[in-house]
Amino acid sequence: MVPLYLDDCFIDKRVVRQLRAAGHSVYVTSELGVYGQDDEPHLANATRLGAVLVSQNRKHFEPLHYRWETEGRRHTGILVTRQLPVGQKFQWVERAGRLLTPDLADNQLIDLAMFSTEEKGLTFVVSLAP
Amino acid sequence: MTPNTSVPLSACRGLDSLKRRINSALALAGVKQVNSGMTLAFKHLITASDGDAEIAGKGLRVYTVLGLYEMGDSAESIAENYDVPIAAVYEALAYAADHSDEMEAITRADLEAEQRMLARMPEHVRRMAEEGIQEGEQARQQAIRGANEARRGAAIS
Repeated sequence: MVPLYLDDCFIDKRVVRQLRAAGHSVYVTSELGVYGQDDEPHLANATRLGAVLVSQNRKHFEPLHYRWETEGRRHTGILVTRQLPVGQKFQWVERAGRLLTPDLADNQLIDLAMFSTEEKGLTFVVSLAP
Repeated sequence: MTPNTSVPLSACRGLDSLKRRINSALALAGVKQVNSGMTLAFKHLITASDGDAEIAGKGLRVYTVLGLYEMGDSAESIAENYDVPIAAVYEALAYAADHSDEMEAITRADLEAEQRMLARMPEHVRRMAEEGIQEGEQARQQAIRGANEARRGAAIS
Protein backbone atom coordinates (compact mmCIF):
# COMPACT_ATOMS: atom_id res chain seq x y z
CA MET A 1 0.00 0.00 0.00
CA VAL A 2 1.20 3.55 -0.74
CA PRO A 3 -0.08 6.96 0.40
CA LEU A 4 -1.74 8.89 -2.42
CA TYR A 5 -1.39 12.58 -3.23
CA LEU A 6 -4.24 13.83 -5.43
CA ASP A 7 -3.50 16.92 -7.49
CA ASP A 8 -5.88 19.88 -7.99
CA CYS A 9 -7.69 18.26 -10.88
CA PHE A 10 -8.12 14.95 -9.07
CA ILE A 11 -9.44 16.00 -5.69
CA ASP A 12 -13.03 15.00 -6.37
CA LYS A 13 -14.68 14.65 -2.93
CA ARG A 14 -16.50 11.51 -4.07
CA VAL A 15 -13.18 9.84 -4.90
CA VAL A 16 -11.46 11.06 -1.72
CA ARG A 17 -14.34 9.88 0.49
CA GLN A 18 -14.38 6.42 -1.07
CA LEU A 19 -10.59 6.04 -0.95
CA ARG A 20 -10.53 6.92 2.74
CA ALA A 21 -13.43 4.60 3.44
CA ALA A 22 -11.37 1.85 1.79
CA GLY A 23 -8.56 2.56 4.25
CA HIS A 24 -6.20 4.58 2.05
CA SER A 25 -4.02 7.39 3.25
CA VAL A 26 -4.95 10.27 0.95
CA TYR A 27 -3.35 13.70 0.76
CA VAL A 28 -5.52 16.32 -0.90
CA THR A 29 -4.09 19.61 -2.13
CA SER A 30 -7.08 21.57 -0.84
CA GLU A 31 -6.65 20.19 2.68
CA LEU A 32 -2.88 20.73 2.64
CA GLY A 33 -3.47 24.38 1.78
CA VAL A 34 -1.45 24.05 -1.43
CA TYR A 35 -4.38 24.51 -3.76
CA GLY A 36 -3.50 26.08 -7.11
CA GLN A 37 0.25 25.59 -6.97
CA ASP A 38 2.27 24.72 -10.05
CA ASP A 39 2.96 21.08 -10.82
CA GLU A 40 6.54 21.02 -9.63
CA PRO A 41 5.83 22.06 -6.02
CA HIS A 42 3.11 19.40 -5.98
CA LEU A 43 5.62 16.73 -6.95
CA ALA A 44 8.02 18.04 -4.31
CA ASN A 45 5.23 17.98 -1.69
CA ALA A 46 4.20 14.45 -2.61
CA THR A 47 7.81 13.30 -2.42
CA ARG A 48 8.32 14.94 0.98
CA LEU A 49 5.22 13.05 2.17
CA GLY A 50 6.40 9.80 0.58
CA ALA A 51 3.20 9.65 -1.48
CA VAL A 52 2.43 8.73 -5.06
CA LEU A 53 1.13 11.74 -6.98
CA VAL A 54 -2.02 11.13 -9.03
CA SER A 55 -2.82 13.46 -11.94
CA GLN A 56 -4.71 13.77 -15.20
CA ASN A 57 -2.17 16.28 -16.42
CA ARG A 58 0.04 13.95 -18.40
CA LYS A 59 1.43 16.61 -20.72
CA HIS A 60 3.06 18.26 -17.70
CA PHE A 61 4.05 15.39 -15.46
CA GLU A 62 5.60 13.24 -18.19
CA PRO A 63 8.17 15.90 -19.15
CA LEU A 64 8.65 16.83 -15.48
CA HIS A 65 9.54 13.23 -14.62
CA TYR A 66 12.28 13.17 -17.28
CA ARG A 67 13.56 16.62 -16.36
CA TRP A 68 13.95 15.55 -12.75
CA GLU A 69 15.73 12.43 -13.95
CA THR A 70 18.29 14.46 -15.91
CA GLU A 71 18.70 16.78 -12.91
CA GLY A 72 19.31 13.78 -10.67
CA ARG A 73 16.21 14.48 -8.56
CA ARG A 74 14.04 11.62 -7.35
CA HIS A 75 10.34 11.42 -6.55
CA THR A 76 8.16 8.82 -4.81
CA GLY A 77 6.03 7.92 -7.85
CA ILE A 78 3.66 9.51 -10.37
CA LEU A 79 0.43 7.99 -11.67
CA VAL A 80 -1.04 9.67 -14.76
CA THR A 81 -4.27 8.97 -16.55
CA ARG A 82 -6.63 10.13 -19.23
CA GLN A 83 -9.91 11.62 -18.05
CA LEU A 84 -12.11 8.92 -16.52
CA PRO A 85 -15.65 8.70 -15.17
CA VAL A 86 -15.72 9.01 -11.39
CA GLY A 87 -16.33 5.26 -10.90
CA GLN A 88 -13.19 4.20 -12.78
CA LYS A 89 -11.24 7.03 -11.18
CA PHE A 90 -11.92 5.59 -7.75
CA GLN A 91 -11.53 1.89 -8.69
CA TRP A 92 -8.26 2.30 -10.55
CA VAL A 93 -6.63 4.62 -8.02
CA GLU A 94 -7.81 2.38 -5.17
CA ARG A 95 -6.23 -0.64 -6.86
CA ALA A 96 -2.98 1.21 -7.59
CA GLY A 97 -2.76 2.47 -4.00
CA ARG A 98 -3.38 -1.03 -2.65
CA LEU A 99 -1.07 -3.01 -4.97
CA LEU A 100 1.89 -0.63 -5.15
CA THR A 101 4.49 -0.39 -2.41
CA PRO A 102 6.77 2.61 -1.77
CA ASP A 103 9.74 0.60 -3.09
CA LEU A 104 7.98 -0.36 -6.31
CA ALA A 105 6.59 3.11 -6.97
CA ASP A 106 9.83 4.90 -6.17
CA ASN A 107 10.81 7.27 -9.00
CA GLN A 108 8.38 5.58 -11.42
CA LEU A 109 6.13 7.29 -13.96
CA ILE A 110 3.15 4.95 -14.26
CA ASP A 111 0.05 4.90 -16.44
CA LEU A 112 -2.99 4.41 -14.17
CA ALA A 113 -4.47 2.23 -16.94
CA MET A 114 -2.13 -0.52 -15.65
CA PHE A 115 -4.64 -0.87 -12.84
CA SER A 116 -7.82 -1.11 -14.90
CA THR A 117 -8.30 -4.70 -13.66
CA GLU A 118 -7.01 -6.62 -10.63
CA GLU A 119 -5.20 -9.14 -12.82
CA LYS A 120 -3.49 -6.47 -14.88
CA GLY A 121 -2.51 -4.56 -11.76
CA LEU A 122 -0.94 -7.64 -10.18
CA THR A 123 0.96 -8.56 -13.35
CA PHE A 124 2.22 -5.01 -13.66
CA VAL A 125 3.35 -4.80 -10.05
CA VAL A 126 5.32 -8.04 -10.50
CA SER A 127 6.98 -6.55 -13.59
CA LEU A 128 8.17 -3.58 -11.50
CA ALA A 129 9.96 -5.81 -8.98
CA PRO A 130 13.73 -5.93 -9.47
CA MET B 1 -21.30 57.86 -5.60
CA THR B 2 -23.33 54.87 -4.45
CA PRO B 3 -24.49 52.76 -7.38
CA ASN B 4 -28.25 52.77 -7.70
CA THR B 5 -29.94 50.09 -9.75
CA SER B 6 -32.65 52.47 -10.93
CA VAL B 7 -30.04 54.66 -12.68
CA PRO B 8 -29.02 53.34 -16.12
CA LEU B 9 -25.32 52.60 -16.39
CA SER B 10 -24.97 55.11 -19.20
CA ALA B 11 -25.88 57.84 -16.76
CA CYS B 12 -22.82 57.06 -14.72
CA ARG B 13 -20.35 59.78 -15.72
CA GLY B 14 -17.30 57.89 -14.45
CA LEU B 15 -18.05 54.92 -16.64
CA ASP B 16 -18.72 57.10 -19.66
CA SER B 17 -15.43 58.89 -19.32
CA LEU B 18 -13.64 55.55 -18.86
CA LYS B 19 -15.28 54.26 -22.03
CA ARG B 20 -14.24 57.38 -23.93
CA ARG B 21 -10.66 56.98 -22.78
CA ILE B 22 -10.60 53.29 -23.74
CA ASN B 23 -12.15 54.07 -27.13
CA SER B 24 -9.60 56.78 -27.90
CA ALA B 25 -6.79 54.43 -26.88
CA LEU B 26 -8.28 51.76 -29.16
CA ALA B 27 -8.59 54.30 -31.99
CA LEU B 28 -4.92 55.21 -31.55
CA ALA B 29 -4.06 51.52 -31.75
CA GLY B 30 -6.12 51.25 -34.93
CA VAL B 31 -8.74 48.99 -33.37
CA LYS B 32 -12.29 49.40 -34.67
CA GLN B 33 -14.66 50.49 -31.94
CA VAL B 34 -17.77 48.65 -30.98
CA ASN B 35 -20.39 50.92 -29.55
CA SER B 36 -22.58 48.27 -27.99
CA GLY B 37 -20.60 48.24 -24.76
CA MET B 38 -17.47 46.94 -23.15
CA THR B 39 -16.60 43.27 -23.20
CA LEU B 40 -16.93 41.71 -19.77
CA ALA B 41 -13.89 39.88 -18.47
CA PHE B 42 -13.88 36.49 -16.76
CA LYS B 43 -13.70 36.98 -13.04
CA HIS B 44 -12.79 33.49 -11.82
CA LEU B 45 -10.33 32.33 -14.47
CA ILE B 46 -6.61 32.83 -14.85
CA THR B 47 -3.96 31.49 -17.17
CA ALA B 48 -1.59 29.41 -15.07
CA SER B 49 2.17 29.72 -15.52
CA ASP B 50 2.05 26.57 -17.65
CA GLY B 51 -0.41 28.19 -20.07
CA ASP B 52 -3.62 26.32 -19.21
CA ALA B 53 -6.72 28.28 -18.21
CA GLU B 54 -7.78 27.40 -14.66
CA ILE B 55 -10.01 28.55 -11.83
CA ALA B 56 -8.05 31.17 -9.90
CA GLY B 57 -6.53 29.96 -6.65
CA LYS B 58 -7.91 26.46 -7.06
CA GLY B 59 -5.72 24.97 -9.77
CA LEU B 60 -8.77 23.28 -11.28
CA ARG B 61 -8.25 23.46 -15.03
CA VAL B 62 -10.97 24.53 -17.43
CA TYR B 63 -10.10 21.38 -19.37
CA THR B 64 -10.94 19.23 -16.35
CA VAL B 65 -14.23 21.06 -15.75
CA LEU B 66 -15.17 20.49 -19.39
CA GLY B 67 -14.32 16.80 -19.12
CA LEU B 68 -16.42 16.36 -15.98
CA TYR B 69 -19.35 18.17 -17.56
CA GLU B 70 -19.11 16.11 -20.75
CA MET B 71 -19.18 12.90 -18.70
CA GLY B 72 -22.42 13.95 -17.04
CA ASP B 73 -21.57 16.01 -13.95
CA SER B 74 -23.81 19.02 -13.50
CA ALA B 75 -22.25 22.42 -12.82
CA GLU B 76 -23.62 22.13 -9.28
CA SER B 77 -21.95 18.75 -8.77
CA ILE B 78 -18.59 20.07 -10.02
CA ALA B 79 -18.84 23.10 -7.70
CA GLU B 80 -19.67 20.84 -4.76
CA ASN B 81 -17.08 18.11 -5.39
CA TYR B 82 -14.18 20.44 -6.23
CA ASP B 83 -15.00 23.22 -3.76
CA VAL B 84 -15.26 25.99 -6.32
CA PRO B 85 -17.95 28.67 -6.74
CA ILE B 86 -20.74 27.71 -9.13
CA ALA B 87 -20.08 30.91 -11.10
CA ALA B 88 -16.51 29.73 -11.69
CA VAL B 89 -17.81 26.47 -13.14
CA TYR B 90 -20.13 28.31 -15.55
CA GLU B 91 -17.29 30.63 -16.54
CA ALA B 92 -15.04 27.64 -17.17
CA LEU B 93 -17.69 26.02 -19.38
CA ALA B 94 -18.24 29.27 -21.28
CA TYR B 95 -14.49 29.65 -21.77
CA ALA B 96 -14.16 26.05 -22.98
CA ALA B 97 -17.02 26.50 -25.46
CA ASP B 98 -15.31 29.60 -26.84
CA HIS B 99 -11.84 28.04 -26.97
CA SER B 100 -12.33 24.60 -28.44
CA ASP B 101 -8.96 24.86 -30.26
CA GLU B 102 -7.23 25.33 -26.93
CA MET B 103 -9.09 22.35 -25.41
CA GLU B 104 -8.20 20.15 -28.40
CA ALA B 105 -4.55 21.21 -28.14
CA ILE B 106 -4.48 19.95 -24.53
CA THR B 107 -5.96 16.61 -25.61
CA ARG B 108 -3.33 16.34 -28.36
CA ALA B 109 -0.46 17.18 -26.00
CA ASP B 110 -1.72 14.61 -23.47
CA LEU B 111 -1.94 11.96 -26.20
CA GLU B 112 1.57 12.76 -27.42
CA ALA B 113 2.89 12.34 -23.89
CA GLU B 114 0.96 9.07 -23.65
CA GLN B 115 2.59 7.85 -26.89
CA ARG B 116 6.04 8.70 -25.53
CA MET B 117 5.29 6.71 -22.37
CA LEU B 118 3.99 3.72 -24.33
CA ALA B 119 7.04 3.77 -26.61
CA ARG B 120 9.35 3.32 -23.62
CA MET B 121 7.50 0.31 -22.20
CA PRO B 122 8.55 -3.29 -22.75
CA GLU B 123 6.23 -5.02 -25.22
CA HIS B 124 4.10 -7.00 -22.71
CA VAL B 125 3.67 -4.00 -20.42
CA ARG B 126 2.71 -1.81 -23.36
CA ARG B 127 0.00 -4.24 -24.40
CA MET B 128 -1.49 -4.12 -20.90
CA ALA B 129 -1.34 -0.33 -20.86
CA GLU B 130 -3.04 -0.07 -24.25
CA GLU B 131 -5.80 -2.42 -23.11
CA GLY B 132 -6.38 -0.42 -19.95
CA ILE B 133 -6.39 2.87 -21.87
CA GLN B 134 -9.01 1.41 -24.22
CA GLU B 135 -11.18 0.29 -21.30
CA GLY B 136 -11.00 3.75 -19.77
CA GLU B 137 -11.76 5.39 -23.08
CA GLN B 138 -14.81 3.18 -23.59
CA ALA B 139 -16.08 4.02 -20.11
CA ARG B 140 -15.57 7.72 -20.82
CA GLN B 141 -17.35 7.57 -24.18
CA GLN B 142 -20.22 5.67 -22.61
CA ALA B 143 -20.55 8.31 -19.89
CA ILE B 144 -20.53 11.05 -22.55
CA ARG B 145 -23.24 9.30 -24.58
CA GLY B 146 -25.36 8.84 -21.44
CA ALA B 147 -24.93 12.48 -20.50
CA ASN B 148 -25.86 13.66 -24.00
CA GLU B 149 -29.00 11.54 -24.01
CA ALA B 150 -30.01 12.70 -20.54
CA ARG B 151 -29.47 16.37 -21.47
CA ARG B 152 -31.34 16.05 -24.73
CA GLY B 153 -34.20 14.36 -22.88
CA ALA B 154 -34.30 17.08 -20.27
CA ALA B 155 -34.44 19.74 -22.97
CA ILE B 156 -37.47 18.15 -24.65
CA SER B 157 -39.60 17.41 -21.59
